[in-house]
This record gives sequence, C-alpha cells and structure tokens, in this order.
Amino acid sequence: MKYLIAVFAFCLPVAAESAGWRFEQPQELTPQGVGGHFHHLDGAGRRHVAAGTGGIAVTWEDDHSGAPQVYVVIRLNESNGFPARYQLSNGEEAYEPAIVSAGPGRWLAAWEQDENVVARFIDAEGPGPATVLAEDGARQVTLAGDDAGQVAAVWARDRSAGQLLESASLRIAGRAVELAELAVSVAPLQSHAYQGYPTATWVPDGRLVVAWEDRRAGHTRLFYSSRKTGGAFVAERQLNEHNEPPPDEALDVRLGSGVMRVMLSTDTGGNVRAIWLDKRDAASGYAVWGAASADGGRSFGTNAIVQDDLGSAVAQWHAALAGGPGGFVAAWDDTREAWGDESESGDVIISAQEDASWSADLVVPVASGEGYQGSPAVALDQNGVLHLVWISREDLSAPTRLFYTRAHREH
Amino acid sequence: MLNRLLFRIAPFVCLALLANVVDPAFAGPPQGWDFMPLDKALKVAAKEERRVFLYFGRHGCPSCEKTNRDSFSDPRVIEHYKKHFVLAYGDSESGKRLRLGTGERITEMELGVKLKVFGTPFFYFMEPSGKPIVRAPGYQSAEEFLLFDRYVNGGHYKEKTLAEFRAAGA
Repeated sequence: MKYLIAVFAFCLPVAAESAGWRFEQPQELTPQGVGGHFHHLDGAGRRHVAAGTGGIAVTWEDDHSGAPQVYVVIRLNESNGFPARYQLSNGEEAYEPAIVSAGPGRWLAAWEQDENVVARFIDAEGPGPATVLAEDGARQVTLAGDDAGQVAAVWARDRSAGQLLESASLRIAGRAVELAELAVSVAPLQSHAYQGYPTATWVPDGRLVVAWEDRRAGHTRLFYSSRKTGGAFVAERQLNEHNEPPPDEALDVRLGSGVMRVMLSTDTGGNVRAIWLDKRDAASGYAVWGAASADGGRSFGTNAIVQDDLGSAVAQWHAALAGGPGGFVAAWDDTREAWGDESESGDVIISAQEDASWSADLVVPVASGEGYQGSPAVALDQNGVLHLVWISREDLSAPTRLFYTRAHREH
Repeated sequence: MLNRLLFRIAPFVCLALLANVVDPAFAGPPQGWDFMPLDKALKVAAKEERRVFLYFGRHGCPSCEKTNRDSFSDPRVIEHYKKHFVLAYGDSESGKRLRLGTGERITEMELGVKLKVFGTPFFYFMEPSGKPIVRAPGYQSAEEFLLFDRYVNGGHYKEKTLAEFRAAGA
C-alpha cells in the first residue's frame, strides 16, 4: 500500500502538468448562510453552466430559502464577477435545473417544479416570465442550445405504462419561452417501461441527438436517437455495449452490470461524444466510459474508458461533458487522492480529448484537497476556455458551498 | 471509514420525512417484503424502537436477484427479518428523493454516493437511532443473514466484533 501511495504522489503532479490547464482562483457563487444549507448540481445532462459569446450563466438548486429552489447567476463579458443572482423557480419545491446559451448575452433555463417542467429566459435584465413546458409528472429535463440560439428541451413524463421521454423545440417570444411545436415522443413507450435522464446536443446539420437511460430489458441500458426539428425521431440504437451478467451469475432473468447518467456534447468540428457512468468492472464501482461519433450522432464507435489507470481503483461519480473548440473535456469526482483521509473526501478530476484518446487525468488544483470537492459541471466557450462549477463541503454530510472557476489551455 | 460516515449522517437521517417517490423502478426488493425508503424507515424505527435493515440494490443487479431468490425466499429469513427489523431499500441508480434529517433532500443515487455503495447488493444494519451496527457487502446466503440476525438482534455486537462472534461459533 505504501508503495502505491508513493507512486500516486510521484505521478499525479506529472499528470497535472501534462494536462496543460491554467486555472484561475475560484469564485464562490453564493454567500454562506447562517447554519448552512445545501446546494446541488444535479440533473439530466448536467447542464449547469452555459458559456455563450455574451457571458457565463450558472444554475443550481439550494434550500437556503427553506425549501429547494432553483437559482441562476450570470456574468456578462465585461463583468469581473457574478453580480446578478436570481431565483428562477416559484413553486413549493424545484430541482434539477439545466441552462444553455440562447444567443449573445441570452440564456434559457428549465427545471422540475412541483411535478411540472418549467422554463425561463434570462438576460442582463434578469429572468423573463416562467412557462410550463410539461405537466402531470414531468421531470428530468435537459436542454440543448447552439450558437444560433436554437434551443430544444427533452424531459421525462409519467405515463400509465411507465415513464417516457418527450422533446420539443423552444422559441423566445419577447422575453417569454414558448414551445415552438407540440412535444413529440423520443421513442415509443409500448415496449419501454422506463426512459429517463435524457441528454441532448445539436449537430451541424440541424438534427437534435438525444441519449437516455432505458429499463425495458429489466436492467438499465443507454440508447440514442436523433431528429430534425418538426420530424420524428429515428429508431433508437443502443449506446453501451456491455450489459450481460457475468457467466457465473447466468440467472434466468434479464440483468446487466449497471450504467447511468449519460452525457452528450458536440465540438466545433461537429464531432459528438457521449460519456456515462458504467459499472462493467464491478470491483471498483462506477467508472466513466464513453463513445465517439464522427457522423453527427447517427452511430457511435466502440465504448472506451475515459479516466486513466490512476482512477481504476476507486469509483467515479457525477460525470459531466463539454464540447467546444479543440475537442471535449470530461469532468467527474473520485477519491483517488483520499487514501488514508478519514473525511472520505473526493476531488474534481478532468480529462481532455483532442484526438482519438483522452488525456491523462488532472486533479483540478483549485477543486481538490481537504474535504469534498465534487459534483462538477463544465462548459467550453468559443475560445476553448473551460468553465467549471462544483460543490465543496467538509464531508459528505456537511453544508455545501458553490464555486466557479475557468481554465485556459497552456500550449 | 464507511462506518464513520454512516455514524455522522445517521442522526440526521433518523429525523427524516417521507420520501417522494418519482422513479418507477422495476427490479428491487424481493416480492412480499415490506421495504420502504430509508428516511421513512428510520422514522418508523425511532417510533417503534426497532433496528433497521437497509438493502441497497440496483435495477437489474444480478447479485441482488440471486440474493432475492436464494436468501430472501428462505422462510426463516422472512420470519426473522420481518419480525426484528424495519426494512429499508434504496436503488443506487434511482432518482427517487428522500430528505435527510439535516434538511438536505437528495436522490437515492446520491445517498449511494454518501454511503460509498460501490457495488450492489450492500446491506446495513442500524440502531433505531440510525447509528450503524454492521454492514455486509455483496451476496449473502440465507445462513449468513440468519447469522447477522443473531448477531444484531441478540445484541452481541455490543460486546463482540462480527469476527469474534463467528469464531465463537455464532
């Protein structure tokens, strides 16, 4: 064990240097409340930070008002900090927000609120009016936005036979969000007992690519599909490869090794990547696996593990993905540096993909160390600058703090 | 370390409110058992002064299914566990929400992160207060469950480690 720790201590700084990122000092996004409260960066697609040409927006849920509600901060390009903070939700409880850029200095956010999915437009003047996108047990909403301001939403909704996904393009009329079309099903529910936790991304030919968790087989698998606005989704295809039980547990039931929380993103070259948490190696818990598409999300290649060997002995959690100029960045948290640390801490880790493979992992220097630093969300702006938000707490039960930083590639 | 973590969160969890069930998962606890979300179970346990048995599983988990078929079908296990414990269940991939006694409202998946559930099934025995007693990762036979029942329900954990209890002939 001591030898392994020594190897870790020697290797990690090298990995950090080779990863080639220069991080700015983190900014705390919310004041610390008296007695503490709890922030969460949680939701389908982990779209909690949006980087557009006009600035940055971050959304999260916290309970400082006495109930879980959804908030946003925005920073315009000319600002040094995040001067504007707004409460977006206006119901009894709200969870799992997503936010995307909707043009220069414009954003669109959506979240779950009292079993509905609600959306609002945000700009320098603040939020516009709230619009209910879906009712009657709607949840797990995610958004996709592109440089032209095109925005689509995908959400899960209760049905008598289970839970299915619906999607609709959105438009902004004045300062209000509107459904630009009737919502359509992403995949038929007839044989789909459960579809959930969707993620979506636009590709250059104008199609929306969607991936999600699907439990029709009696265990969780990941599927993907796509459509052009106004059209129907094409027949879904399976994304994850490994889903059979080990041979020594060949029970007469439909079971799998476990996958969850898939993320999609597109880079400026039109390449699409997917990453997700995958427990095909049961001994170390969930790991981050991914797949690449070079044809705009019509097909994906062989599954490949994202994190490097230094992360293979511990579980990974909260995987997030951003695409932009120069490729993709994946982020997650794990406890590879927590051996012997009784606080059971986690740290934020990133890996960048520029060509065919993922870089050596980088333990983010400003989002690691004592206590827990995790639950990251990431975005890349038009200059390839990485924007990162995460949760910090003394341990996994302590009150939380919310931080933001940005990082520049070092060439 | 896991026990330390459980010890820290347990007092908060025991004051929890009812869960808001939003995720229609299919696989899960064995048929015919009265499992409930952990926060509700701890509330019942505190009221009735009964210990808690937490089963952390996963939708489609082969070892969970094997445990359900082999062990939770055993009439002795059924009788003893229903009689001696308040039964709680969590799914490590679920978006069902529960509220901890701290006021933090999280999903069952996030509870799995807190409890370091790196694999399933994972079983925990707790005092009525939520204080952890012992945990058992992975598949357990009916005989193992009966041993855990004797160790916990007999109060032996107050004087002996599980290994000592086994060595003494259990």
